Amino acid sequence: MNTKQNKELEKLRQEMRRGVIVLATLSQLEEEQYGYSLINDLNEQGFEVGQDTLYPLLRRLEKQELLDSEWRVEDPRPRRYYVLNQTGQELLKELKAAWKEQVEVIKEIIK
Amino acid sequence: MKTNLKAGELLARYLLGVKRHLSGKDREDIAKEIESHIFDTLEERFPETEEVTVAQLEEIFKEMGAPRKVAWQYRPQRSLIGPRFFPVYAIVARILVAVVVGAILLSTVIATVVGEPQSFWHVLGNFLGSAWSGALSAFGVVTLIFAGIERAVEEKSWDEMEDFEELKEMNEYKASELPQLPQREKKFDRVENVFEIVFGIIGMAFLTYIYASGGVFPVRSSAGESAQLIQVFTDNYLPLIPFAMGITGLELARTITLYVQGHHSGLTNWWVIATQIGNVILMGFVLNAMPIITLQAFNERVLNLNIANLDATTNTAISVLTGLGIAGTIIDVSIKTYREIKEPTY
Repeated sequence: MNTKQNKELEKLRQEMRRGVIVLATLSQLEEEQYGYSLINDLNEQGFEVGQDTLYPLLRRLEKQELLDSEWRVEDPRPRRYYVLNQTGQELLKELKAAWKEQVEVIKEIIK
Repeated sequence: MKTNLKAGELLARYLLGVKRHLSGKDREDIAKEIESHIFDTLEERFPETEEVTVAQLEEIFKEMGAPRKVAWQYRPQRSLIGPRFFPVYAIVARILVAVVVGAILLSTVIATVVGEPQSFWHVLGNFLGSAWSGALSAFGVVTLIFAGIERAVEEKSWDEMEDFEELKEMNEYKASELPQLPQREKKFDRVENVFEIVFGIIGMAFLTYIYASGGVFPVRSSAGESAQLIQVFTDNYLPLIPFAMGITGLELARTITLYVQGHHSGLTNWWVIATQIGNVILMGFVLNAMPIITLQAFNERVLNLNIANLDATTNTAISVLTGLGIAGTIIDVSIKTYREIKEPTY
């Protein structure tokens, strides 16, 4: 592939990631986490995400009333912890099912 | 993990830069979370460090980008003009609006001085109407053009800005572009502000009186004697009074706005620049209109000073002071304009 095609591929991969970032984030918040630990958690599992994307997304999800958050002062400084609330848990369950269904469909299509 | 003095100041300036590009009640909270993230990153990257240095902080900031870029991620997902073009848009809009208002001000001054005599309120109303519609049109046209550009390149993301290297560079972290901390900025002083408002009102009353009286003052040389009207301001100065009232009125409106706001902002800072430009033009006309004062009659009746050529001496002194005033104001306006473009106040 030439440079232009590589760029196009990278762009499409980013779009794919953007499509599932909400699912990936919600799936890691069944137990509470703060932003930095969540970024590390996702990156270690192979899902690349930066602070510039994650922190605004967490705020958006909280405004959509899917997450609860609180500041907690733990040594050596305060951190904001996020966790799924009841609505978020129900939505995550539905999203997971929809995702699995999509994966099966796509598997069939591209086989 | 702590920061040394310089690193602490740099961090505070970076966070201030972020907050200035945010609005709403969450801005303090967002800045606090960004600070927490920065320390988490520092701890992981420099685990042995007890005191963070400027170099270590800058390494993180370079990855995060300019405060403007960080803040923009928190804005609504769709905006009229996105973060890629906003820096250029803001500069172009400011310059164009300033040029349009300046041109209207200049044409109003020339029309007032050269044209048919008109009442102050008529001139002021015309100027404000023209300035408002001119500024709004200029702002609207620039906004429409940039919104069009934004839509034309909508598909490109932050990371795909190869074709816009200069814009990309504007959103990169540069220490020199961080705002100064509040103690280094001009602080808002309410007492000084109230004095400015009071002096503004006195100034307007004084100018209104001179304009209405035709430049004469009632003078009583001794007790019991009836007052006589004595000319102090010459006919050369009278046509300039409506313009002087316009400038004083604008300055008075600015000080009242400042009182209501409770802090200096981009609006009040550009307002100062606009009124100072108006003042320079006014002082130019004053120089051209010399002599503007005649104290001979006033001296004979009240002062009784033995000064030869009193009028000539007074007007020469006023000319020198006005000339110095023009030079000083031009330097001051240039510095303020440069600062406001380089480091906009929000």
